[in-house]
Formats: sequence, structure tokens, C-alpha cells
Amino acid sequence: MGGVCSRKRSQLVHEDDSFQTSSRFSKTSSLKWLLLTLPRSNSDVSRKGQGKGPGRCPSLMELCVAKACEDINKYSSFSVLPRDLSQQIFNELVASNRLTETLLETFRDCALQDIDLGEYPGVNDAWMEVVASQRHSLLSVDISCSEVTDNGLYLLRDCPNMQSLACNYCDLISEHGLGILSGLSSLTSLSFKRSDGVTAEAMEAFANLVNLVNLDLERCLKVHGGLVHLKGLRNLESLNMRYCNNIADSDIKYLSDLTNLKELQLSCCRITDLGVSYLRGLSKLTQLNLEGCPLTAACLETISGLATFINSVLRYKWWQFSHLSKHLIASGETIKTQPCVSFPFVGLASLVVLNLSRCGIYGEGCESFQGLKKLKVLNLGFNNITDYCLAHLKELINLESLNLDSCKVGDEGLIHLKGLMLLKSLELSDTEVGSSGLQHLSGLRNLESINLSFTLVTDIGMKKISALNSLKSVNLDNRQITDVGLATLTSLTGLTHLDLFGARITDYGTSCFRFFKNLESLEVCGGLITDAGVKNIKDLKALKQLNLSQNVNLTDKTLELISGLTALVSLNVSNTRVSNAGLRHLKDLQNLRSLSLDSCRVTTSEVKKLQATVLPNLISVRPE
Amino acid sequence: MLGKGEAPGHQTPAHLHKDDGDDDAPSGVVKLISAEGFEFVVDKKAAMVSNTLRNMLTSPGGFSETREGEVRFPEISTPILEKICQYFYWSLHYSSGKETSEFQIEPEITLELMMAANYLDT
Amino acid sequence: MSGGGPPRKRNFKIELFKHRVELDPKYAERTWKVLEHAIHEIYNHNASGLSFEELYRSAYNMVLHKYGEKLYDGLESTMTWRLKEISKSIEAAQGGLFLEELNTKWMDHNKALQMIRDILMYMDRTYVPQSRRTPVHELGLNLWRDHIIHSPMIHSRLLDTLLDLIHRERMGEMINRGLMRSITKMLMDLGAAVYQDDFEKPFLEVTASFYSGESQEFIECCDCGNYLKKSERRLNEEMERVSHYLDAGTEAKITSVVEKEMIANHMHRLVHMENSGLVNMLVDDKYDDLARMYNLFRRVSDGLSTIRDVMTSYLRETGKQLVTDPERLKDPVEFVQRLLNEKDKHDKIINVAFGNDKTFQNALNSSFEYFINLNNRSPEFISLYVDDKLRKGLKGATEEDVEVILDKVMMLFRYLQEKDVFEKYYKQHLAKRLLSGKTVSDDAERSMIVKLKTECGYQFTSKLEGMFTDMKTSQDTMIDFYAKKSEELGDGPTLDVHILTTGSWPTQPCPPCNLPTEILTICDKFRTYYLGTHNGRRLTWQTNMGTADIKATFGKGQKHELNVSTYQMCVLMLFNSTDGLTYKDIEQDTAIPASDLKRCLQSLACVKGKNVLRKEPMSKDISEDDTFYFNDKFTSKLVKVKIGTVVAQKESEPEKQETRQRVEEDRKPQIEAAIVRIMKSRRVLDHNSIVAEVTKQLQARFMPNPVVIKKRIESLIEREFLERDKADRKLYRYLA
Repeated sequence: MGGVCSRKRSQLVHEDDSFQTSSRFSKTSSLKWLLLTLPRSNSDVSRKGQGKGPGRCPSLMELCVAKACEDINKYSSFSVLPRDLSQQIFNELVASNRLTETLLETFRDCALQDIDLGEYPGVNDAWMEVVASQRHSLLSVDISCSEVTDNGLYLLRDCPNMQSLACNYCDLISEHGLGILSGLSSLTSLSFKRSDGVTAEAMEAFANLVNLVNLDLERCLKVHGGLVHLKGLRNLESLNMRYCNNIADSDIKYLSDLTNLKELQLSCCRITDLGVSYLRGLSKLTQLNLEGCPLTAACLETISGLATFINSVLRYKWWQFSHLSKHLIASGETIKTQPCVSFPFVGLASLVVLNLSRCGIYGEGCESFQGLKKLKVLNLGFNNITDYCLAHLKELINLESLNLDSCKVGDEGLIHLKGLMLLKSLELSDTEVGSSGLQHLSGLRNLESINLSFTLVTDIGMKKISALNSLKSVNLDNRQITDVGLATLTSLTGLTHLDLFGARITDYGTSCFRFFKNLESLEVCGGLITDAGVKNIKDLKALKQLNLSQNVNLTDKTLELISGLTALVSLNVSNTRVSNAGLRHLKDLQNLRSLSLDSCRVTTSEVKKLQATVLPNLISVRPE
Repeated sequence: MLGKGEAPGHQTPAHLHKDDGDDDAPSGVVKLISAEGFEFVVDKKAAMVSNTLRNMLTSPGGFSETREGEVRFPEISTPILEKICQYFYWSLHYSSGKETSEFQIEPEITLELMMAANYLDT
Repeated sequence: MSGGGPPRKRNFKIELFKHRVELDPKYAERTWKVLEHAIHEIYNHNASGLSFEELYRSAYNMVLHKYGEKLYDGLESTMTWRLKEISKSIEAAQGGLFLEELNTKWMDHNKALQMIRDILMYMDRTYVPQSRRTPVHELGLNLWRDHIIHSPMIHSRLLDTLLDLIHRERMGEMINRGLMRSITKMLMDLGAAVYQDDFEKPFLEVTASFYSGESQEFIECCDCGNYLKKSERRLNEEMERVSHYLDAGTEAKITSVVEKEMIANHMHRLVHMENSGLVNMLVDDKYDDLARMYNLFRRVSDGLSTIRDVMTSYLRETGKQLVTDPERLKDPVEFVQRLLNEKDKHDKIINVAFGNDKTFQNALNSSFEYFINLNNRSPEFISLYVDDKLRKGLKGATEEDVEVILDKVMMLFRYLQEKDVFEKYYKQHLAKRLLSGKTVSDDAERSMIVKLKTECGYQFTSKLEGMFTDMKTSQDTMIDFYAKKSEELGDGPTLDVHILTTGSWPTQPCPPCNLPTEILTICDKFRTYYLGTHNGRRLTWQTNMGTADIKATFGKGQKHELNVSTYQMCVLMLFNSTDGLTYKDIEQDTAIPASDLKRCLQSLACVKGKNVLRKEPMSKDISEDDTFYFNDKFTSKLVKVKIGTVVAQKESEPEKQETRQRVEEDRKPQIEAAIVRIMKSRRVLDHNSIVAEVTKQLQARFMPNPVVIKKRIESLIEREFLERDKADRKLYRYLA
């Protein structure tokens, strides 16, 4: 496969969108915004309620709010309205992108409680005056991605009742601006993603925020040394410090008394087993994310609380060795650290979610997993986990999601997963699992998602999973899968996601698609599909994502055939013979937001024209 | 779609008594009276589009409204109450799945109607 | 909403309508008084005079004008005051009216609460969530809980009343279940914690002590069966009580209390109860009692294992007695039949009373396996049982009956550790049946072979099948022989030869005896015929087997047809030429081995009704000095007389030893083969592992003796299949 078609997995840590709401797209790095976010114009009441399409009957209140927004220029102030009502008008104006600096004036002194201007274009210090005029009423403010400076932030000193503040990606706020925070002691939730202003010194202001429950410092690169100021925040339940890659073991020490912590995100921090050992007293912790931290399985003892002294010392020897050979970058620091385990721990047996992806963990010490009986989500992807280790997962009968991406597991290991009856999601991509191993999975009646891409699984293996009616998502991106294997799966009529990217599916095999009426996403890029095969795709009305790239024989006829798939949000027909002439067939795909036409016979100008004239919702277009 | 009384204070209570406070059956009609005394006789089913009216008409214990089948709104003016009654029927029509034209709101009454909508929780 | 404000103008301008600025400082107080009055009226059942709209509007405006807190606090204190009043009236209720009053007031409060919530709906919708206070309905429940249920004068009285009523119901009184239902539902409505802490927990405690006492009383005066009946009834009563007026979640808790007190605490005493315990129930097939015990005991931990353990030790004990009782060993058929009856009995118990519980079936199987192998003659006896059934026992039985019996036998066979011993005997017995034409049903024979094959594999039965093949081939050969040679043979005796493949049959090399000339002639003719068609074969006559039908005419001219063995024929034919012969003469003339000859003569001369020979002197036993004469006084009512050889059906002790030895000999190559197979794949292995693996491989057929294994290993080392490791003498290496 050529450059365009080989799909390299991003080496970046991927964000767990399932556990936090996704941020909007402008400045954040998540690539998943495409499907997860909706433009503000979509929440317009007039579109939601009246006009086309069925739906819930709009309330009279909604109709009035919409009407007020429509005539917004006729009003000079809403300060006479009850607060609830002006708040609703304000929210609607923000949601429909109609709020301007001028209109904002209308809301001066309106006693608004919530001002959510996160990622709203044009927000700057001037806006902050009206924001601050809400004074004691103001409870929550989001000015993420704004041009607000220290001066603007300073105005919030008039709003001492504020409970929630989000200043993510505010590049103009410096460490001096943070001083104001010390006066906002009612804050329960504070978010400063990717801020250079959050320095060790500036964090002193946090020490005053004793009511803080949620703190988000993702991507703040200067927090090293500042965590000492969090020591007294005993109410803290959730702390996000993902990608704060200057955080070291010494910082984690200050978290050891935050016993109310339930959720702790530390992915890509420079934390070793020693750092993890400081967490042992956090008995309420249910979610722990250590993705990409240079750990060993010895830290599991801390995590599971099953350790004994002797075990730990033995493993320490081994652990030293593995770090020398495998993790040279980290070795300088880790070698010097003391054995992390010296007495039995209280343990973190309450954990429900544990992410240890890309930690470079070896099998030794994996028996400690047995203690984590409450685990529902376990990510062990990209570690040196072996079949032997899987035996220790046998007891984790509450597991609902297990990620073994690129681990050293094979058919033998899967036998240990047999009893995990609650498992909904299983990731086996890039493992040595083959067809015979799948028989151990045939009893997992709750399995909804399975990823078998780049495994050794062949057509024969498909029979083993063909009775798992609960399956919704199946990834079979590997070259051994052919029409024969696909035909075995036609009983899985509940499928919504099917990835056959590299599978050798021909036009003959596409006839199986008619059994998958609920498909929302489909990838068939093995190169063997022609226009005739696309005929079997054209009736999959639920499709939102369709990838037919690399099928070099597809022509404009394909676009004509899929022109009725109006639910499509994303379409990829790169590396095909699609031409400018075919683009007109896309005009009905009004929900289309991403379109890829790389290496097709189309010109950039024609594509741009299409975007400008008939497909206004299109945000991402290739070629650009 | 809605009856409009002729003069303030005009009362026709007798025939409205037939279902006093029967909980679930939204049959029959109810009389809504504006601040100025105009009476609007609407189907109970329509009135119950408003959560406030629904509670009022189904609350146990027999408040005067349930007994007499009429509700006075000393703080809602006739045009606003009329608009509200129109909305009740518009809403029923909409919910029945039939093609429904947009509900028109005159700009000058928007805010007052909004207050009333808030009051009536509709 | 600006109540009573200036009339609004229709033409719309933005600044026109003013948010009302509250001028009257007493506005809030005044409005609250209206609402407070209304709340009282609602509690007084006087709501009919109130206007919902007015009240709703008053509350709405208070909230809008930021008097939400005043409204909320006012509501809370008013309701609290009302509830304190109510609590007084409940406290004042006399005796039995207490619950009635509580219930009535609860209904009233509920209704009032709903009305109040309705008029304060706007506060619930906006003020409550914003200021994170408790919604009105929940507030009303909490206040009821705090001021009524937890009132010191009511709290314990309520609990005592409820517990007393339940106690009375347990003692057989009728109580007002509807009222109970209402009250417990109230507790549940007030939240799971209230129901559990204020009722359920003490209820469970009282229940525990009640049943602790009652069970003690029962166990002293009831037998096991009755005790279980009473327990079962109590358990059902408690479950029924839950369904009538307690929370469904209580069922699991209350049953576990009853189970603990009634069952778990007395479990051991119950199963071992003298004259009525588990063993008695098993002996007397008390299916109902057993089923009851099973169903009750399964509810408690270790319950079923208690039953199982007692049953197992009972089975082992009785089984052991059965298989070691010397009386029983006298009749092998009866012996096996008893085992089968015992098995049937307990199968039925497990099926009927123990719900076919797998663990019980396993216990039964392991018990049988245990005691059957206590007697090393079991394999022989089981084979004899089959022999008996296939000889005569099955006459008149349908195919299905046969199958049933054979399946049962197979079940016993499965318990055997020394399956190869069984095989040995089975082969002997089968051979006798086939050669003497005693098999009743060819189908039944084959069915048995198929069963053995399924159980033990092809190897086990190949020789047995070979025997059937021989029988068939012999039949064909004889037809052909007579077809081709009939004119040559003339009127001589009819010969029926069974050609037995060496190795397939349990034949011992045996010197042929001297056959009578007539027979010898025809035998030679057959030999010529046979060797003519089958090149390179050898025929040896097995004169120790075979039968002959001979016609004999006795003194008064009466003719009889005698059915005799080959040896007997040889002996009798001697008397055609002479009247009296000494033992020595006979031995010399016939060359029959001495032991066989003695038995042969015994059957001809000493059995009443079959004594075609007469012996001098008369005695039961044959001695070498005896003289035999043709008995012309022989009479019999039958024309055909069958003269069996006096055979011990069961093997005699020396025979047994011999069979045993043969079995051991047969085992040697099997053990060696297993060792070689294992070492071939493992290359190097220590002694103990070899023993373990060999045992594992062979245990389907027999339990190899470790000493024998060791000897076989030594033998293999001598023959250079294996060698000892130079460094570690415990290790063996595979050579070649």
C-alpha cells in the first residue's frame, strides 16, 4: 500500500473521549471533533423546533426566546427581565453565534449566573466588563480560547461567588493574572488547560481554593514544583494533569493526602513506580490514567494493594534491568530511585478505570491485577503483556473494556478472558491472536466491540464470533479476511461499525452488506471494489462515515450511487477515478462535514466551489 | 378554536361543573379569565399543555379552580392570554404530527409573553 | 409578572415595561402570610375555599423577587409546626388505634404535601436547584421522618407494635395485613435507610431469636422428618409475609435468618438424628423427606456437602460390607445383581429427591468405584453376570430390556480399575458361550461388544470381534465342506468344526486326546479339505473343547440321545467294545489329562439322572482305583439327555491365580509400550514423572503397579531402550 493508504497509528497518546466531554475544535488538538461536535447554528431553536422535521414540540418559552433573539437589535437592556429569562436569551444568542460585543451590553447588570463563552470568537477584555457586571450573581464563567488578558481576568474580582471558571487555551493570561484566583474561594471547578501562566509560583493562588472539587491543568508545562500548593485542597475529587510532562515523582508526593480524589489523569507525566507509590492512600480513586508513564508492573502492587515486601525486592532487581535495556531515556532517573514497595499497602482496590497504555510494562508482577476486582476499564495497550499475564485478569469479572493493542498475546492467552462475561469492548489489534484463539471468546454474550485488525485471524475465525449478536463494532482490517469470512458474519445484524480497510473484499462480498442495515460507519479499502459493488452500499441509509478510498476502479458512478446517503458526515474516495464531473452528485449530502478526494481527477477550485455553493457544512476538505 | 366571552364578569358556571377535578381524564373544558375579565373557554386537554394549569387542574383536595372549572389570571392581559390559548392549540396540532405552520409572535409582546410562559411553565 | 401594575400599552417599545420595584417593604411578609394561611387550611382539610392560581402566583412572585429563601424557610417551619401537632395526636392514640391513627395522618400529610408541592411548583423548579436545597416533596418526607417516625414517643412504640403484630401472626393470630402494608410502605417511602434502620434490622434480630428458640424446642421433640416439615412451613410463611406487607428486598434477608436458625445451626444434629436421620431416610427410600432435606439444606452454605458426606460414608460402608461378605461371594450373579440394585436405588433417590444434582451423582459414582475395587474378584463376577444373562437370562426379553441390563453392567464396568482383568474373563466366558452354542442372542452379544468398544476403544475388543468372525467363517467353511465332500463322507458322523484363530481365543495349549476312529477319519478328511483350500496353515484339534451328540441304547432297549463333551464322547465310545474299564485303562486309551478325566468321569458316573456309567465302588469322588461299567439300567424321562461336565462356574483358587498371572503377563508389554511412547516424546524424564505418566495413560484399563513399572524400566534399560543419566541416577534418557 502506498503512502496515502497506509494508516499509521498516531504515536500521540489518544484522548479518552469517552470519559470527558470533548472540547470544541478551534484550538484543541483532538481530531475527533468532527463527529462529536455540532456547530452552534444547529442548536438554533427555530431549526430544532419549527420548520422541517419532526421532533419535540417547542415550548412557548423557547419560541419566545428565539423570537427575542431574532429581534435582538430592538432591545437596549434586559436588566428588567427576571434573571432566568435573560439568561435563556443570553444562552440562545451564544448558541446561535449571534452575540456581539455590542449586544452584550444589553446584558449589563442582568444578574446572569452562567456565562459560557468558551471558544466563542472575539471574546476579549472589553467583554469582560459586562461579564463582571453580573457581580454576586455570577456563578460560572467559561472564556476558553479567548483573547482575554490578565487585565480582563482581573475584573472578575467583583464576582466572589463564582463556583466554576474555565480559562483553557487563554494564551494571553500570564502568571501575574492568576493572582486574582486567590480571592475566588467559592470555586469548586477550575480549568486552565495549556496555560503557560500556571507556574509553580502562580499556583500559590490555588492554595486558597479550599472548596475546589475539579482541577484541570492539562498541558500546563510549568507546574513542576507547584503541586505543593495543592496539598491542602482536601475536597479535590478530580485532577487532570495529562501531558504535563515536567511532572516528576517528587511532585506526586503532594497528592498523597488528597484522599477524596476519585479521578486522576497523569498520562505522559514523567512518573515512575516511586511516584505511583505515593498514591497508595487514595482509597477512593476510581479512575487512574498513567498512560505513557515509564512504569513497571511493580507499580501494580501499589495499585492493587497486594504487595509483600519480599516480592517487591525481587522484582526490583528485574525492574532495574528492564529499564536499562528498554527505556534508556528514563533510566538516568529511575535507577536511582529506591525500591518503591516496602510494606503492604492499603491499595487502590476501588479503581474502576485504569489506563496503563504505553507504559512499557513487562509481564512480571502482573499477578497484582487480581486485586483490582472493581475494574471495569483496563487499558494495557502497547505494553509487553504476554499470555501468561492474562491469566491474572481472569478474576476481574467486572471488566467491561479491555485494551491489549500491540501486546504480546496470542491464542493461548484468550482462554483467560473466557469468564469475563461483562466484557463489552475488546481491543486485540496488532497481537498474535489467530482464528483458533477466538473460540474462547464465543461465550462473551455482551461483547459489543472487537478489534482484530493486523492480527493473524483468518476467515475461519469468523465463525467463532458469528453468534455474538451483541456486537456492534467489528474491525477486521487485515489481509487474510475475504468475502468468505464476511459471509459468515451476516447474522450480526446489529452492527453499526464495520472496518474492512485492508480486507480482500470483492464486489461479490459487498452483497453481505445488505444484512447490516444499521451500519453507521463502513470502511472497505482493499482495492477490489468497483462501481458494481457500491450498489450494495447505496441502501445503507444510516451510514455517517464511508471510506471507499484505494479502490482505484471506482468512477463518478459511485458518487451517483451514494448520493442518497444523506446522513453521511464523512466521505473518503481518495485514490479513485472520481472526477470533477461527479461532484454534482454530492449536492444532497447536506450533513457532509469532511470530504477526502486526494489523488482523484478533481481540481481544487472545483472542490472549493462545491464547498462554497452547495455544501456549507463542509469543514474539512482534501485536497486543500 | 377558542371561545371569547363578551364582557368582563360574565359568568356561565352551571354547565362547566360536569367534571370537577377528575384526575386523569382531560375531558371537558375550562374557563380562563384575563386580568380585564375576558373569558376564554378552552378544552382541558389544551389547557394542560401548561404544566402550571395541569397541576392546578389535577391537584387533590379541591381548590376553587377545580371546583368551579375556571381560572382567573389577574396578572395576564387579554391579548397575552389569547396568544397563550392559541399556543395551546398550536402545540396540540404540532404534537399530533400534522404539518404545522410557524407560530407567529408579534415583537411587541415577546417579552410579556415570555414572562407569562414562564409563569405557566409552558 | 407584574401583578396589579399599571396597564400595559400595546405599542411595543423596549423600555416600556418596568420590572416592578418592590415599594412595599412588607410585601414579602404579607405574601408569605397568605401562603402560610393556605398551608394551614390545607392541613385542616379546608382547601376548597382557596384559589390555586392566587397561591401559585404568590409563591411565583416571591421567588421572582428573590424571596425564595424566605418562602422555603417559612414552608419548612410551618410544616414542622404542623407535624409536631400531628405527632401529639398520634401519641395520644390508645392501644390498637395507634397504627390506625398514624396511617390516617400519613395519608393526610401525603395529600397535603402534594397540594403544597403543586402550589410551590415554581420554587421547586428554580429556587431549589439553584440554591441546592431539598425539593418540597422530599422535604415533606424528611420532616415526617424526623418529627413523627423519629419522635421519641412514637419511634419505639411503632417498632414494638409492628414486631408484636408480626409475633402474634406467627403464633397463629389474624392481623390487619392491609394496615401493616400501609405502614411498611410508609417506611419505604421515607427512604431505604428509614425502612432498614427503623424496622428491618430490629425485625431481623427479633426473628433470629424467635427461631433460635423455636428450633431448639423442635429439635428436642421432633424426629428429623417432622423437624424439616416444620422448618419448611416456617420458611414459606416468612416468604409469604414478605410478599404481603414487607419490602421485596427483605425476602433474601429474612430467609437467610430463618435458614441460619432453623437449618444451619442444627444441620449436623439433623442428619445424624438417631432412627430418623439421613441414613434412615436413605434406607427406607423416604423420597419426600429426602427432597425436603435437600431443598432446605441447599439454602445454607455447606448444607449440601453435609448431606453428601454422610451419604458417601454410608454408601461406602454398606458397599464395603456387600463386596466383602463371604456369603455373597458364593453366588457371583446374585453379587452383581445386588450391586445393581443398590445403584438403582440410589440413582432413583438422587433423581427423585436430589434433583439429579451432579455433585451427588459424582459422590455416588466415587463411592461405587471405591468399594467395587475393594474386592479383586469384581471383574470376574461382572463378566460372569453378563455370561449368565447372555446364556439364559435374556431369553424372552425384548431388545430394550437387554440394552437396559447391558447398560447397567457397563456402568459397573466403568468403576473397575482392572479393566484388563475383566477383559480376560470376558474372553473366556464368551469363548465358552460361542463354542458351546449357548449364546441366546447374537444381537445382544454384539451390542455388548460395541459398548465395550465405545468405552475402551478398538484394541480392547478386536480379539473379541475376531471370535465372532471365526464363528462365521467356520459356518461357511462347513457348508462348503459338506457341499464338496458329501458323497465321500457317506453315513459317518456329522462333523461341525470351529476354526479358531490362534491368539483370538483363550485357548491353552493342550495335548490332543485319542479320538475314536470314526471321528478321526472324518477329522482327517476335513483337515485335508481345509489345508487344500488354505495354504500354509496348521490345524490343531482342541479336544478339551467341543461337544458331541451320541445315540445310545440302554438295557431295556430305550434309546437316548446324549449330549456330551469331546472327552466324554471319547470315554463313552470305549464302552462300545467292552463292558468294564478301570480308571487306568481309560486314562491310557484316551490320553485325557488327569484332572479333566476325573471331572469327565464324575459327570458320567456320579450325577443322578445322568449316570450312563456305573462306578465301582460307589462314591461321590473318582479315585484311580475305580472301575467303570456301562449302566444299562439308566433311565430318563427325556429322550435327549445333556450331560454337562462338572464345572465350577466360578473359578477355583488355582485357576484364579493362573488367570491373574496371565493378566500380569499381558500387562508387561502394555506398560513397556507406554514407557517407550512417553520417553520418545519427552527424551529425558525422572522416575516419578514416568510412573505418573504411565499410570495416567493406562488407568483407563488398569492401575499399573509402581513396582511393576520400575521392573519394566529396568528391563528396558537392559535392552538399551533407555539409559540412566550419568549425573543424576533418577533421570532416564531415551536411546535410539
